Amino acid sequence: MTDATRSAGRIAYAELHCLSNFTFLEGASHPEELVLRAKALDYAALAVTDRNTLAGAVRAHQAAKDAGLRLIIGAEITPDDGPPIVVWAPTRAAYGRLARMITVGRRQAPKGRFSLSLEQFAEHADGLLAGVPVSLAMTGEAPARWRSDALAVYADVLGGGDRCSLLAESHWGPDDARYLARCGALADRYGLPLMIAGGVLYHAPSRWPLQETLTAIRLGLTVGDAIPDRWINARRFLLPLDELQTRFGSGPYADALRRTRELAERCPFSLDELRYEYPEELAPEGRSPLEYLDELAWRGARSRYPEGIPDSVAERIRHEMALIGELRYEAYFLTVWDLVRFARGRDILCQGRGSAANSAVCYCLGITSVDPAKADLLFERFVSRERDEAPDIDVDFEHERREEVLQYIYEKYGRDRAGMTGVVITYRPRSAIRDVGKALGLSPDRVDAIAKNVEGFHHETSQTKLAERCMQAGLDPDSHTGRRFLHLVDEILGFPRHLSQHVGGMVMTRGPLCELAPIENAAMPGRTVIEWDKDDLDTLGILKVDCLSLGMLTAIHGCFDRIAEGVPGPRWTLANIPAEDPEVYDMICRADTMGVFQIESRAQMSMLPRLKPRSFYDLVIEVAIVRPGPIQGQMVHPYLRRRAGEEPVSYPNDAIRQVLEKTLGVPLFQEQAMRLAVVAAGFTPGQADQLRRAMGAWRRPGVIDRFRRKLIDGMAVRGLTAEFAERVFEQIRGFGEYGFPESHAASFALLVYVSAWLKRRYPVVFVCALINSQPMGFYAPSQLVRDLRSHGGRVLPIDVNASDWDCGLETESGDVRGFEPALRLGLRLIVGLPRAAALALVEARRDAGPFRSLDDLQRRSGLGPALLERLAKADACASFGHTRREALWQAMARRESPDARPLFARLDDEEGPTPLPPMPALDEVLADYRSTNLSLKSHPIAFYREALERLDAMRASDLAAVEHESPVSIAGLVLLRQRPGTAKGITFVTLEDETGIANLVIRQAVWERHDRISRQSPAWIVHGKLERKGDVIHVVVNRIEDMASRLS
Amino acid sequence: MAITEADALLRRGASAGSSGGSGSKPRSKNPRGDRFACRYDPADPESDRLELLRMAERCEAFSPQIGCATVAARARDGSGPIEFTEFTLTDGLLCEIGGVSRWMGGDSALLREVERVLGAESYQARWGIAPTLGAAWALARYGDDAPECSGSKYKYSGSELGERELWDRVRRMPVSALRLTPAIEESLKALGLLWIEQLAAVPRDALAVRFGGLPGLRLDQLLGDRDELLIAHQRKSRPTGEQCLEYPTASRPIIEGWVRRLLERIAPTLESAGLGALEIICRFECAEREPLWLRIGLFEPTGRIEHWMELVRMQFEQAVLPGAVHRVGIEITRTAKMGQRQASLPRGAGGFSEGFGDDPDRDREMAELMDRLSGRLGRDAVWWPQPVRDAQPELAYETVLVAASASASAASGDSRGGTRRRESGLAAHCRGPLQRPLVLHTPPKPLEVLAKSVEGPPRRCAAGTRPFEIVRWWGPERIETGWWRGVSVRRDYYRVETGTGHRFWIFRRLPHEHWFLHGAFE
Repeated sequence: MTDATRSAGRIAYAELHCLSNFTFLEGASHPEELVLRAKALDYAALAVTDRNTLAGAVRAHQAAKDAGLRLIIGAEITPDDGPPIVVWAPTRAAYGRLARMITVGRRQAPKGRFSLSLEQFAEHADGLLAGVPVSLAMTGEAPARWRSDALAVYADVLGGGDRCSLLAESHWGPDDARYLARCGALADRYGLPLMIAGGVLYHAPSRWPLQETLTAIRLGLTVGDAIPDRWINARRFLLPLDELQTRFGSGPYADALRRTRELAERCPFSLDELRYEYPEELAPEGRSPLEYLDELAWRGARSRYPEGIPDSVAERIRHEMALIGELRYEAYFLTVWDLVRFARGRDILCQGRGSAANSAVCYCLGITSVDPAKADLLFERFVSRERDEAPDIDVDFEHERREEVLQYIYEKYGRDRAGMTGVVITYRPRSAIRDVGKALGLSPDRVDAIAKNVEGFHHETSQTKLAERCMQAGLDPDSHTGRRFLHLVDEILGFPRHLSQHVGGMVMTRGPLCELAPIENAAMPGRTVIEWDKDDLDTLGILKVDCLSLGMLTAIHGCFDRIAEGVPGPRWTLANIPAEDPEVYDMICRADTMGVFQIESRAQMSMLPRLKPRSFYDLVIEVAIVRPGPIQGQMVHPYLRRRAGEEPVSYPNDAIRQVLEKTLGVPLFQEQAMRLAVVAAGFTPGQADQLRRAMGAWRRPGVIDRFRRKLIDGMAVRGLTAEFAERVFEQIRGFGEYGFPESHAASFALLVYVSAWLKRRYPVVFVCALINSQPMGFYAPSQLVRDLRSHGGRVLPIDVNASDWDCGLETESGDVRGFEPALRLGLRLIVGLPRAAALALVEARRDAGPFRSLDDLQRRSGLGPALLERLAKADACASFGHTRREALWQAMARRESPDARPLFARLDDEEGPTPLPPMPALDEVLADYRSTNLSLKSHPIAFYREALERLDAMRASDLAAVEHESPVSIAGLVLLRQRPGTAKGITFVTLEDETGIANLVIRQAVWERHDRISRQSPAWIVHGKLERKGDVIHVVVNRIEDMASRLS
Repeated sequence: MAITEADALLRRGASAGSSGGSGSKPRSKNPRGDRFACRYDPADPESDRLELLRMAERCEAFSPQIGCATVAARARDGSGPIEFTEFTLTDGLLCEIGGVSRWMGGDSALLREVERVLGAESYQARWGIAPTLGAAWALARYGDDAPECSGSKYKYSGSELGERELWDRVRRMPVSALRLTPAIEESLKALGLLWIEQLAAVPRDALAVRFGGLPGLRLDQLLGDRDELLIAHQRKSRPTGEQCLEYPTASRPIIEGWVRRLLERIAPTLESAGLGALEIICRFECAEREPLWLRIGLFEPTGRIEHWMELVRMQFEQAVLPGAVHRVGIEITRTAKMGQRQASLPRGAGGFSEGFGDDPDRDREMAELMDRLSGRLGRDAVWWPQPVRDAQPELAYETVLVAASASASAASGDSRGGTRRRESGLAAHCRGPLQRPLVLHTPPKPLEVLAKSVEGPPRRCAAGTRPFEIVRWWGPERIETGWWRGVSVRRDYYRVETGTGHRFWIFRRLPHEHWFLHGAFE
């Protein structure tokens, strides 16, 4: 059809009933796809009406705004005793009632479900427009599952024909003509207007197999099973106007078609109208929030800079305050300041992370710790005029105390005004493979094999990679089944699956929260979440604060407390730790960083000797560079070469030099990618920000590639080579997976420095605090303790007469002034010992002195026999003079209740010598590992040293003396198996023996050749070649043996 | 059995318990016969138990007392209370073979015979012979593992092994040979008490305080200081009846009369157990001839003698008597709880069962009709069509052998019958009248059609040489389905009425525009 005929015979149609994939496991298209398709088909408007939810509304809204399509906000509601009804919100007020209605239905049903009575629907339907899809049940051709007067109730509630209509949805079924005739008759009977609707489930017919697959997944069936109510064809897509024209354009249904357009015009409401207003109670009486914030900022600045506020900082504060005032974000800053103030008041360590660290005001308010006088930060990354979007402040709290902060928020704003952000769980490769495989009826073990193969391989989702995986698992990717499987897996990736709770996102409102967005039950009892995730909230500019939890803050707090107890003088804080201590950097350059925040991972440790950080900014780079983003963007090696002076640094032009100079011409931070797009490709800052968002979006269809052309063309115009442009694009795309903003890296770098300083200056205290904050970090207590001992720290065993729940510090004399304390392991290390029981024990000991015997311990602490046995098994009764077995024997004597023990009096001493064989040393060590996961006595490998020497296996400590590329064999316990997505299938393994650790590199082929051993065996003997790059030593493995079977 | 009797039994000089631990038997029953597929069935302890009891019955030839459970009894010297600590094996059998092996030609010959019998069932036998049940159990399982115990030789020479030597070996076995609980074994391991002799050295009081009475009891049972009674497995009998006729006769009425009387005799026992018969075997014995067997299967458990007799008569009148019958035997070989209906029977019976709905009387009549039809025509001659929820018309029904589906569901009381596709009822979308024809051509017949346009409705068609003018049409109804089967089906169906009054169901295959005649409304 030509344009001329199209405009001549033009009909206007708005699709009013359409489910997106936010109707989980039913709708088979993303909201964006529906919107783009509707636009391409020249629809007058589109209503994305997901069932009992508005979760996809913001995505549709944004897409419609970008595409220039009118979007009607609505939902399909399914009352318990009435037929499904589609409602649309014409106004903000009606929208509020719709959100509240969904909230009511969601809150009174279990998580993920919905339950609403017809009466409740009526209560909340004020102002809404509605359409009832005519079903076979209404035409009397199928039994109805609802009240017979339901339709009359709808007509009545919604004020007769004015606001309620009937929707005729025909899909080339067995008898469409008859169905339409019945729809007409029904409309006449109830006096309701008839409208044409699609009941759309996917934007294009090609999604039909996926829709059936989703249905099968939802019902736990396979596609070949009898899926209840399966539709017989693939007609539930957005129809071209021509076809609608042919079927309904003239004749009895022309009016029904025309009314859709009229309805769209009656619904001008847009989500942009959710003009959000922040809570206002934070400013004192009579002061405007802006005045108050201004005062707090300057007051804070004076205390941050007691010697006088530097001019540059003062200038920044003025600049920021002006922008904050202009954009009216002052209440938001006050809200976050209030949280931080609360935390400080409770002595909870906290620190802002993310882009907020770009703000001098945040620094002065105490929210962040990155000193604007020292770092070169970009406030526009945080708050910008172009971007009409609320700033994003993430605050880390000590992980054990974050709950207190959340409770404070609920208390302050009330449950009806504060809520947690939802997070949409989407299909990832593994879940996609599992669910699609099951739905296609593949055998469970084969599905399992494929899924396990792709485990953690984020980038391995391309069809060829997946095909390889299928081949390995015995599914021919070129077979019918194989092709279908691959295609469906690819399509389903990124599809929302269910709604979950964000780890710490809190939303606070001035009015009722449930009129902003529907609220539903979370998995945890008593918790609720709103249906929108943080991107949605960003899009609409709604205030949210991420209250995250960080174990390292707990550990640092613990260190500060212990040091304050032991050392006189001012108490250390995050802000007053001596800066740029060269010995700390020496330690970092040696990669002696076990336990230090962030830079303790295997990848970070191998980077440290190459990057050789000597200043705070080096740490910022170190944190940011060992990330999948820069690694996949091929940025690491150029940066290292340039830093080592092996490669000249050149810049295509000055503008680019300004952006990249501080990282030697290699973009390492998100901000640089953004600025590069501006200066090199002519993006506006707003577009650059869209680019940034695209970087963060995972598998949103085609988002990032839209920018590719624009970026490359823009660079060509500015005279940059296509090669450079492609490289920049790849680098930017790399950030899409995982990249850090500089401000975030700077916040983290501060914790890196603080924790490294603590490790260097107070190693025992540091390990003590780390163990007490478990679980956290990469290493288990056994490695931390081994590391501490290898540095000369003294570690004392767990003992019922010396240990508290937490690990503690002891000095010989009992005086901690000298502060070279020993670490006393705490009862918390004993597997299966409840905290309450341990505390009862400690309490009893504190009250009346040390326990004299197991009997004494039982009597005074009231511990049950099972717990006594645990203590005995952990060898914690040495102070009674008992060996482990003796203690256990004694403890077991308390198993039977006193009534069942006629010989009660003969316990303990009177029983005579214990008839137990002594425990071999190896068994002692193994028992230590079993009960406490570590042993101070010896290392298990040490017992096999002789046998290992016969096999020519070296000690880990000997590796340093081995030449590059020499063959080596080494044995040890497997501590870590890591396979980063960036490493092309290489697995990094850490082996530990009695002398230290060895770092292994295992190529995929080798790993798979030793599949069973490599996955399951706890101790290996490996053979390979030593590789040395500077101080970094790896063993590249070509053969793995299970140690147990080799030595037996 | 009285305790004293058992006591005496165990006390007899050469008395011995044999414990045959059944090895693993591969579950090789693969009904589909897939050569490459591996089939995993979930663990089914109840089936395992029944299998074990079946093996017990199989082994009755070797021992008057065979079973898999014991109770502890009084101490050997008669002191102490009688304890009833039960012990049940899940993976082996206990046989009292005292005095038996003599009849079998000695222990070795007996064991060879046991191995043969078990081997025929694809089981591998492991065993031990000892004066106490505990020691036999331990030898069967830990004989090879005991230190300085060489191979399986002793197993065959159980009786030749001197008592001293036997106890020596047993004492050097690990404590797990004592039939303790896993928790106790774990604790003993933690204490370093790994061998029976170590445990035996510990004062009993000290043991009892820590682990209760069980270790002491098991030690005593192992060493023969305390008795252990074998609880023999009792075979359950099936309801049977038998009658010797006064003189051989070929008179069918007389024989039938005896069958009826036997059934009348059996019926009350079934009734009192709340059971109905699902299968009846009749045996008619003639002198010097193979007996005549009749197998009567029922679709629903019933206790109605009239119905039984009707079915017996139907088969009996077709059977040829080999001669004069002198003995009549009846056995009810399969039973089921009365009132456990085979849901698949009436409800699965498609259109014509609609009227039977939930009326139990009609259900029963329906079942009896099936029984009669099958009795008359043979069980493999009665079929019914069953609707299947599939959008593709030629796949929307299955014909099912009544006997197959009924017996599959009757035994398990499960109406799902394995295939999920065969859910009840028609698909939701074709409920209107006359949307599907009664006559369906399989496969559809190619048809010449002249249509209004490429996508438009048909104008005229020609079936064979005969042209039809199409005067009315309804449609299209599009059917798209089966993509998961490899080739997806895409068709536009029309119901058409011809000038001659014929009504056809025809479709256009997409996207090739070929037409087919799929059915007729007649």
